[in-house]
Amino acid sequence: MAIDPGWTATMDAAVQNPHSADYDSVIQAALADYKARLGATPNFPALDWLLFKALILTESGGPAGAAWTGRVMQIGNPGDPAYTVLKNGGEGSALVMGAQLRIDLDTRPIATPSLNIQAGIAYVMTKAAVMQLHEVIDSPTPSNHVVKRGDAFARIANSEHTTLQELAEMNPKTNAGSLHPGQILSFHRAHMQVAIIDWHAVTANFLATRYNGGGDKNYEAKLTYVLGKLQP
Amino acid sequence: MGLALAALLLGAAAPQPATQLEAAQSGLIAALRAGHVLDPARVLLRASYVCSVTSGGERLFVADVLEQVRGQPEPRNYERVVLLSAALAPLQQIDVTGATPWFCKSDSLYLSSDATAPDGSSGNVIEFLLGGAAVQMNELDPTRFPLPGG
Repeated sequence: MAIDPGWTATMDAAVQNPHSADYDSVIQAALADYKARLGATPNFPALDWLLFKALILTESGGPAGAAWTGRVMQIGNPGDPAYTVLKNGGEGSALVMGAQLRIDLDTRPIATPSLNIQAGIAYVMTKAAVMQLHEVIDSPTPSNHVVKRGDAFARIANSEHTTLQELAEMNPKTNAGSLHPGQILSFHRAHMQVAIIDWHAVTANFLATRYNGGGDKNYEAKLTYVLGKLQP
Repeated sequence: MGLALAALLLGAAAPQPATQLEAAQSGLIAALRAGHVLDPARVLLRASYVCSVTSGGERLFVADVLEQVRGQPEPRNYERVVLLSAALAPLQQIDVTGATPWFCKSDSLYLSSDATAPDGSSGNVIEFLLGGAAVQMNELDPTRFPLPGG
């Protein structure tokens, strides 16, 4: 199905609107920050700021849309999982975001346009980062934990300074239902370390798949259309 | 009397097997609501059983849940696999947006593409540990996937 002509007319007008440049510096500064902090990680992707501008125009509907002066990237809309992920530092976003953005997410309204844009870009970058979790053994000497009434794996891992993965590896037949007082679990003291090992290319297709999640089957075509209008 | 007997003989009164599918899906959705997996601010597009895994000697159940955030002007989809206990209590939720869960084998779920765990690690094979208390994301070349079933 072709893109709705009404939508292309809206975007044509949006691109021509002088206010479409309102957030150019916000986008450029955010992308420069990611390049400065994470540019040395393996295969850090090329970041086309105009593609992000196309994303913002598509998400908001442009300067004439109500979202332009609020949740420009739709982050923090009712039911939006991205805002919760970012606030909690989940899905590896804590490793991707800058320290100031984490503070701002806790202290400033998400309907602030510049913050909303920074949050949206952070979510894109979190989705683009390929992360791997490594277990680091802190003590080569194995230890034992005697299960007490009410013990749960997460609590045991926390109190014994080890990991769920280590408990699983050392006690492969054990499960939550089989824990009983007096049972002995073996483990090494360990912790998990997450690292960025690769990146996905940030393209219109990537944004359609990972940011929009297939919510609009024309999303990639829409981004490509707006990008074409923005490119000199 | 004669009509009722005829209906009974023809099986009209017996529930059709397909109705069990609808009942099972309704039960799954009810459990996902009770477990606060579904967000009332999102639109539920689909929730379905995928397959079962065995972890720590327990049989656990994988559901695929697709919801939509009704943003204006662009709706955004949010897809997760949810690991459920035998009592349909949610044990794990993993974002699979952009990937399709394919099949289960032993303690693992195999997917078409990478999923992202809450800790940020990603992979196309989700291994459930300790009876579902933990997950480990693994990366495996799809040509080395095992055959489903068995």
